[in-house]
Amino acid sequence: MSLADFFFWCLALFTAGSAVATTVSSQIVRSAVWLMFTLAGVAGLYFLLGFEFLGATQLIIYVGGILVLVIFAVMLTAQGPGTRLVTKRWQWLIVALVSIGVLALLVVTLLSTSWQGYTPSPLHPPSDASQSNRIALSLLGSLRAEPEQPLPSLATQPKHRVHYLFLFEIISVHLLVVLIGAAYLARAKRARRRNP
Amino acid sequence: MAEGWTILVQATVPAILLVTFVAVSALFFIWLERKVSARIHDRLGPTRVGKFGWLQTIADGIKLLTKEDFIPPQADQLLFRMGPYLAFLGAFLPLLLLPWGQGVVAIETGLSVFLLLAVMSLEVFGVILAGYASGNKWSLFGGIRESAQMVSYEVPRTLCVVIVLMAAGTMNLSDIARQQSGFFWNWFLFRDPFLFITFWVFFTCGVAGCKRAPFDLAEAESELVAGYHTEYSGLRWSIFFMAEYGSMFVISGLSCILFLGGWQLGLLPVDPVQWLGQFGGNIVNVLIFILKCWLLVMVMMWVRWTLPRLRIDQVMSTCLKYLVPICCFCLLGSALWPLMWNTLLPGWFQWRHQAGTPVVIVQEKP
Repeated sequence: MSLADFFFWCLALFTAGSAVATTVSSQIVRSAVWLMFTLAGVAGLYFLLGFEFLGATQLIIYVGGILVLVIFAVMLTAQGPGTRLVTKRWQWLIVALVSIGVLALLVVTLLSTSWQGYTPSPLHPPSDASQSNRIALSLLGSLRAEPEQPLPSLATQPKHRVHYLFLFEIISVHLLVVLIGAAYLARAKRARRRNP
Repeated sequence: MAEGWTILVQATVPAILLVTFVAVSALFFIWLERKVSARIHDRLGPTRVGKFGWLQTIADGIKLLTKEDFIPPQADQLLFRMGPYLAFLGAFLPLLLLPWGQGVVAIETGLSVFLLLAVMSLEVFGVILAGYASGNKWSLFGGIRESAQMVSYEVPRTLCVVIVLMAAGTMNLSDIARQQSGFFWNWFLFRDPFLFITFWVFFTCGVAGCKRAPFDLAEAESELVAGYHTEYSGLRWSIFFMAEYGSMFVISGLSCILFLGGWQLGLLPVDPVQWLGQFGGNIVNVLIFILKCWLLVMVMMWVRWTLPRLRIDQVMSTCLKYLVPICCFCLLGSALWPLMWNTLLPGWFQWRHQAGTPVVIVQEKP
């Protein structure tokens, strides 16, 4: 077993274990924390495969952003640290049905995919920064990233170029609009007069 | 397998070095904090233990080790134990990405700024969990305040970083520092007036992110006992403090690299690496970097013992009503600056950046 395999199994066990703990735990805050560890474990897998950008994005968006929101929501709803979730029997049934369905779907997909021509290359050498450099430069607009092999969905459009800057700008402006909108909705509707 | 061992050693050595550095510098910072605060209060500070009291922190550490490790019965045991480690992780992980010298960096990646911002946001988890799991209303207040503050201050902090990235054109921290080589007027701080403003905004956000006074609402002693770490004692409590001093160092290091030339002194005509060779030159570089960071940390201490604590609504309005608009203004200005400058000036006087260095081209008048 190579080092990469060893790390893969560590991370996979960590991710899967905390995923199980997320569902098993009856305290909602603990579930949220275990969910954070699951998502962080997935980010770790991305780092192991050498995809730093994907890993960092996973950390920012899921671990940093959504879980803060989850914990906020939990704290506003929980009456105290002792609050427990009670799962009813019919809920168990529904969840079991859905999970078995998803598992079946995944297994069927895994078995029906042909893995020919796929060469796993985990654990990039640490000095290999060219890929992340390209992503970084195209995010900043200083470089136009062109995929080495045209993506299957884009194969019909020749000379298609991927440049991220414009998309990035649109998303940022969108987020800014959301921010201002949230501030507008949350503001005090009418200024209160202290001494009428 | 030999390659595997190489990678393991490559990974372990920087990690151990950095953990040791964080711990030792926390010891030093705590002593320094006491001395600085004493000087500002016109006192002497610790004097008894060792010369100038420099062994005081070690004495305190021994005291903390022997204290009872108490977990309140109403606490959530698992999360209570987890809190300090998560906070320390958020303070320690960014250090892996900071370049300390020419190529002296634990993880070299083209996206280091992005990754750094990603892992810096983890620290707030430790604080929230500690506040929640203590089962104490003061702790919960502290944790919630802290999370609100940190999440808000991340917006202007990230915007400031974006302004620098725009000027630098790269996301690699080593490259950003390398672009500021030479004398100190090459630093991004002095590149244009908007970046000059940005530095102060960034540093303010950094101080707020470290929950240092005047932004230490999370542990406001007069209101919340001690905030999120009220119920912690002994070693667990000291891990929180190590995390705080660690994140102060991280923010100072990031400010250094983004605005103050990183490991370059700014007064040397040649790079020490060319002068003393790779090894000796990098020792000089690392020492300069640490010295700069310590100076910035000392500025944070100076601010802490000089300014009174803000109210929570003042903290929020400082961030959302002042710092965010200032950042947006600087973003626009910094984007327009390279375009504006050459059109405003007469045609024979040109000023532009060549490979990251401002070059003034004076042509003869036609």
